[in-house]
Amino acid sequence: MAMTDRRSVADRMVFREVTHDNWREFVSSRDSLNAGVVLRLVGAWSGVQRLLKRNRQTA
Amino acid sequence: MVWRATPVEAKQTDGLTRKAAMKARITAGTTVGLLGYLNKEPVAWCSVAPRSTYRRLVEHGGDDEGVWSIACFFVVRRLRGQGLSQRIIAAAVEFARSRGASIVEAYPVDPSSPSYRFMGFVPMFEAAGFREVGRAGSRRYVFQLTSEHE
Repeated sequence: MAMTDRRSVADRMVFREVTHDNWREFVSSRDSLNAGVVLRLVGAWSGVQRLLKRNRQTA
Repeated sequence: MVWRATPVEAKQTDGLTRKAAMKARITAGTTVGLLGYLNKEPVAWCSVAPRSTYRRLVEHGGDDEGVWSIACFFVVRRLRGQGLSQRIIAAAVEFARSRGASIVEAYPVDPSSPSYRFMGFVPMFEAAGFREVGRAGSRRYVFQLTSEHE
């Protein structure tokens, strides 16, 4: 039966330098970051739009 | 890449061009940073490299000799809030020292700051033993970890 690894996530993490060998993995992780930034910008812009609309309605 | 771009590269904002520029650096053997893996899956990224490989992060930052910079963090959303930042900073410091760094520098903001937040927050670096040595702009701090701080 497989043993359950009870170490914390931090303890189980391993680090490798980004090199030509793991470049593809680096790109995929960065794409996740970029997607997150875009979503946040879209969210912030939507918030601004809602605020402007509310101000127009109350003016 | 944002902290590494040359003036010409900075004007080319599309992802493909930036990826190509970063790949060229890696292929040339330039240190860019670390990937953190969990069960062989990349889940974290830390930009850590000699300060001289970034565009100027600090005005009047002195000699670059032996100074490394931690310039960016990323952890996948599902693993945030588990204290991984300390693990990443420790790995970055260990990596930098293994390559000869005598000073590791970081550029965090306060948690409430509206500024670019991927360079980390002040409490993260304080907890890791870094000390404030100056400011970079109105909202960003310069923190350093040197061997005598430990």
